[in-house]
Amino acid sequence: MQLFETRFKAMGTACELRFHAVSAIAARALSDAVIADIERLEAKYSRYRPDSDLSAINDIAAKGGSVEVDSETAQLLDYAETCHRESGGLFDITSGVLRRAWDFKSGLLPAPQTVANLLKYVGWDKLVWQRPRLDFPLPGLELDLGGIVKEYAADRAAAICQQHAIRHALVNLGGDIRVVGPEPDGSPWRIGISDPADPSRALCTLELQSGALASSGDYQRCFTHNGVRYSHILNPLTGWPVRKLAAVSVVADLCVVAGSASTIAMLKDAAGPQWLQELGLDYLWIDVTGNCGGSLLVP
Amino acid sequence: MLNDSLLEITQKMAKVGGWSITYGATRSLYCSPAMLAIFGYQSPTVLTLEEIGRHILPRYRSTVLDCIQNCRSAGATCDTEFEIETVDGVRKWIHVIGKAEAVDESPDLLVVGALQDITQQKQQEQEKRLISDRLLVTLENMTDAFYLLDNHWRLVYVNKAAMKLVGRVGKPATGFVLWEEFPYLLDTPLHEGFYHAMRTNTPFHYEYFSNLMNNWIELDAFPSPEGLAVYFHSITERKQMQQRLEQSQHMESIGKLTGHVAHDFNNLLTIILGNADLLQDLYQYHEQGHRLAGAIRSAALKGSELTRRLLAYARKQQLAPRPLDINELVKGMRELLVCTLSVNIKIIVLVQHDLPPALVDEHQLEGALLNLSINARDAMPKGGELTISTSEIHVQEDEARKHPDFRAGHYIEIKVKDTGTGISPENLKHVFEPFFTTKELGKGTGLGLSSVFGFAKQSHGHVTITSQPGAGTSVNLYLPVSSEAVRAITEKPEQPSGGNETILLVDDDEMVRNAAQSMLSTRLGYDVLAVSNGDTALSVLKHNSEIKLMFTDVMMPGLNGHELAQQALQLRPDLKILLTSGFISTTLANPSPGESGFPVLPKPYSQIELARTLRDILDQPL
Repeated sequence: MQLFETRFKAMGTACELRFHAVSAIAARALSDAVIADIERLEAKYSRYRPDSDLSAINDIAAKGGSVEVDSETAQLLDYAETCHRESGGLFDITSGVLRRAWDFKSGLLPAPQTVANLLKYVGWDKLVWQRPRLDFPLPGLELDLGGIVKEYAADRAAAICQQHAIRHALVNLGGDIRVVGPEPDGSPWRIGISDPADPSRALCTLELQSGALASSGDYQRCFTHNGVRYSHILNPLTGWPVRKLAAVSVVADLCVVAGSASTIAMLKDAAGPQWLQELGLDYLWIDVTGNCGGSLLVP
Repeated sequence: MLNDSLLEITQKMAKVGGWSITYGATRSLYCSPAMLAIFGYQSPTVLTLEEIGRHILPRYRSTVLDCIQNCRSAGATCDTEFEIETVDGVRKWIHVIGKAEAVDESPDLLVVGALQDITQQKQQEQEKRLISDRLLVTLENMTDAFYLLDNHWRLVYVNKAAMKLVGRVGKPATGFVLWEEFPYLLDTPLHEGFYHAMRTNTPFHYEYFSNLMNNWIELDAFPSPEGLAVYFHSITERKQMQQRLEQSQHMESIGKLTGHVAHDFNNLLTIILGNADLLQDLYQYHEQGHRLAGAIRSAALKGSELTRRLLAYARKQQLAPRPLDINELVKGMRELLVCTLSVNIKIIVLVQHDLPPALVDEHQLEGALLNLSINARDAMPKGGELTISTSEIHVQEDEARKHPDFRAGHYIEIKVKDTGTGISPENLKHVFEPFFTTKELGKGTGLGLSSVFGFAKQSHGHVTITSQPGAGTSVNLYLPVSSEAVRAITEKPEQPSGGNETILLVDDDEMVRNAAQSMLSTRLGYDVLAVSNGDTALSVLKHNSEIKLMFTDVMMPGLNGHELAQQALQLRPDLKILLTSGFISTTLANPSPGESGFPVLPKPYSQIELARTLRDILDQPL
């Protein structure tokens, strides 16, 4: 068995696939299959591609109307609905419209009225989801599956590994990590979680035999205005960025669960760590002052 | 009496005897002397039916008895064969015939007959059968396909190999007329050849591509009075090998030609580059002149890049192979490719970890991979995927044999695969040939893949290409695994300067010599003695002890550069030597030892390259 590594760019991020395969031919077959599936998901759920399924849904959402979705999209919408409910409305795939008010590159704050106006178009409860039909009674809504699809892609990549009889693999889609089995000698995969303040330094090293790790928040995509740090993670209830936490990492069996849990924890701000603890998953948080905590730091 | 004697002799010769059985009140048997002799009785003897019956082997007795009984009761003719054991215990085959006759004016019945010793005939028949059986087994088991036609072109026999080759299963169908079953064979060279063979009774040999069998076939037909025996077998593999060999020889001859052209070009470029350098110095205060000289220099450098590629194809470039971590190089190139290729091309790098190092020239490999990536880019104008993957591979003998000039062994495989337009099978045959390009005029030199090919071969590796129109192309580069571990190299900082030593310049080309002399003396300050051939050079060396270094061309009439260098060293063991050759091309970072161990500076060289090389050699302790 040989160790192979594939690097490529997809979903706007650097991707890596490390796996043990019996031959170069088997390795190429797996690599091709995983990349093809990620590209398929990207083409289907990208907000930036006018020909994507998501863009077609958003075209209807913009005008108001209804649309039937396929079973894969329905599954993702079911999950989004669950997250919305479990997070008390914080995890909301309709919150993307708020980005129109926030320009993180310019470092300028939006007018409060602009944010308030956009909030009219934010809220899962403003649409009607009845599998397989999605109704947009109010024109101007917009869906963004960015908070789920990359993690879902990592889980699917793991499933493809198993279909290809690959028993030892690590999928890393821009920090969303899913592991298939341990290394061939039984030892766990070692994953460093970097310090957001100094990405060259590992905050802790995680050993994963199976399951997934996903993180939310980072230092790069924020700006400081009048001494106040504004994160890129926007609370859909207020329209304003979260203030307390800088980054959260969560370990779960599925990457999609780890990803949504970390996002919800970020959105819960100061209550995030407590919520994670109650959730019973291993986690790590770092706040904007550099303090950190969580079960992953406990040796 | 005479008639009786003659009859007896005749019977003996024919091994025929007569007999009769009279059925009356009693049964009596008469046996002719010839018959008795067949049964081993030397003298006339009267035998009973029982006595003669005992000679018949038990398994035939009832048959013979029935036969005679039929003859007697039903009036049938008795005609049968059986085996007897003679008085002497010898076994013989007997053919008996007989018929019943009434006896005149008597109620008796007479059965008369003859019998013949057919032992010899039987043996011959058996031998024939044995041979025939053996032949049949041989024909069935031989690897050649075989069929037999009779005089009317009817198929009499087809062996298993023939059935297999024509892709038919089950029992062979025979009896049909060849030309009726396969009408498309009419008026073909095969049809004509078969007729000619039958008509002239001469064998017919033919090689052809059979659409029916989808194979190249070699066929031999041997006529006989009974018909035509046809042997054939597939020679597809041989034909393919032959084609590969022809292709390899074709590439070899183009390589030689290319090498010579590049060599001559390099001489010209050396003159142009040298003089452009001089002109630039001359016009250093004349803006327009300086600019024009710069344009000449720049064009000459572009020309030099073209000849470098030509030399790469001709496997004449100077390589500096060293054990190299291919994965590091490939991963490092990913960044370069991201910048070089368009944004709509996805770059995927798939590496096998823990690869042994390859023995290869790093810069040339980078160039080759860049070349392949640019080809891939050009094949994907609407975007696509470029995958570069590495793996370790043990090429077995049977696999290596499929490619000309490829040795079995341990290699690192680098696969560069695109999802582009692909290459048609017709063009694919020519892609490694220099100047072959499918790109628009002016967009490709046709030297990219050919230089990759030359580089791979010169590196003792190999390169293969597979492509499907519309589905993309894959180029596989095989590089030999190094037995040594990877080692780091450090680049030497560049410190070119001239000197005041005396240099002996040897070049048969007057213009090259003049350009080099100008550079050496005017620009670099050396004392230069310039001569046009090896003999003069040796003579100058004998009389001038001031000469510190000899700078000589390799390709010269008379003594070549290597021979001259060796003889010069015998005269002057302290002499430093630098060779120059248009057959070698490199990045010119450092002159590498040539085949005779002397450093070689490739042509065309710039003033700065010449200066640095000379200084390096002159400053080395002896």
